[in-house]
Amino acid sequence: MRYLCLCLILCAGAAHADCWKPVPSPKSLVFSASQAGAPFPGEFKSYTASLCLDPKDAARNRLEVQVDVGSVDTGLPEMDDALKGEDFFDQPRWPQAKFISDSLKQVSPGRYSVTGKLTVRGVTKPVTVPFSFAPAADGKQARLEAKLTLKRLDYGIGQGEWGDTQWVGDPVDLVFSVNFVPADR
Amino acid sequence: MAQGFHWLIVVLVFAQFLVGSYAHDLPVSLLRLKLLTLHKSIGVTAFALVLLRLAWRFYSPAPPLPVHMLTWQRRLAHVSHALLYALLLVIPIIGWISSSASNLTVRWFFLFNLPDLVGPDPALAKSAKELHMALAWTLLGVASLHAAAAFWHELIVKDGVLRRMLPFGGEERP
Repeated sequence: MRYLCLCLILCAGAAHADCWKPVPSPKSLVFSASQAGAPFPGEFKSYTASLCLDPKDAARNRLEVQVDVGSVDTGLPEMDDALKGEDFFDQPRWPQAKFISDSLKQVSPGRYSVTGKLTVRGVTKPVTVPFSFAPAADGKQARLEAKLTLKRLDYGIGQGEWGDTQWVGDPVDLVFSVNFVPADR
Repeated sequence: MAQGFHWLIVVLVFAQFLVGSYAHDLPVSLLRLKLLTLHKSIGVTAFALVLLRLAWRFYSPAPPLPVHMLTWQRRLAHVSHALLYALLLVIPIIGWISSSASNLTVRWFFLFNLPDLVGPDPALAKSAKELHMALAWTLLGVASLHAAAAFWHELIVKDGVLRRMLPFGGEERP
């Protein structure tokens, strides 16, 4: 929320920036991990995001995402509990994963590339994510699609025995498929 | 051939009992993941062997039951054999449903994935798992009856029915 407010202030300062907020819906922030070589998908049900795009000044572009790791849902309750625990997300200590952009550029119409810092379980690493963002003709809704692959062990997701990548794969695919609406200004 | 399938399936099902019940009581851990993956891989294997044995039985029917057996004994033998086959086929399918409903795709010995029979559904996963275990205990009960009957044939009636099932006891065929 703090970041959303911060962005609203920043966006208000930017005369031409259009800011957007997500309309969270099921399966909009999904991931695919793997167990025993088979896919193990899940999703995060609770997150906030703010995207500001300034058509005239790319330096004012901004993307921030906060994910409540406790909202992880794999459809396997005991695994969800384990994921919230110390060996994985350690939710009591690190309740949120955050992404804050450093630079966000348009690469072609409707296509962008954002570079920023991703913090998960207290570990911050730079990541670059290409994404598409397409506002509808009426400007009242827009769709963001992004895909990235992270290595869970870079962020300490899987302590101790869970570092075994033969049984629990290191790469985790993340897919964002989120509808945005204009943020209140 | 039929004997080989029979004993191989016995060994695998026995291993399934040990691995399955031990893993069931473990908390979420790497060991549990490994054991349950093994359990599912053995289960797929046993299921395939049961199908093969049934196919073999169709191609090469089992020898007739000894003539001295009474009608109720014949019926009991047929019913328990049918029940054993049914359980050996149904139990792995229920387990497969439980695994699919748990969002855990079944992978056979790290080689290939089985298709998910249902989508993630915690309530279905729980009831399928309970049914899987209840049927497994039923299988243990019917198999015990089956083994008791085999020993009855061997020790009381002495008609060679047990011996004809042993891998190297073929000459006893009536």
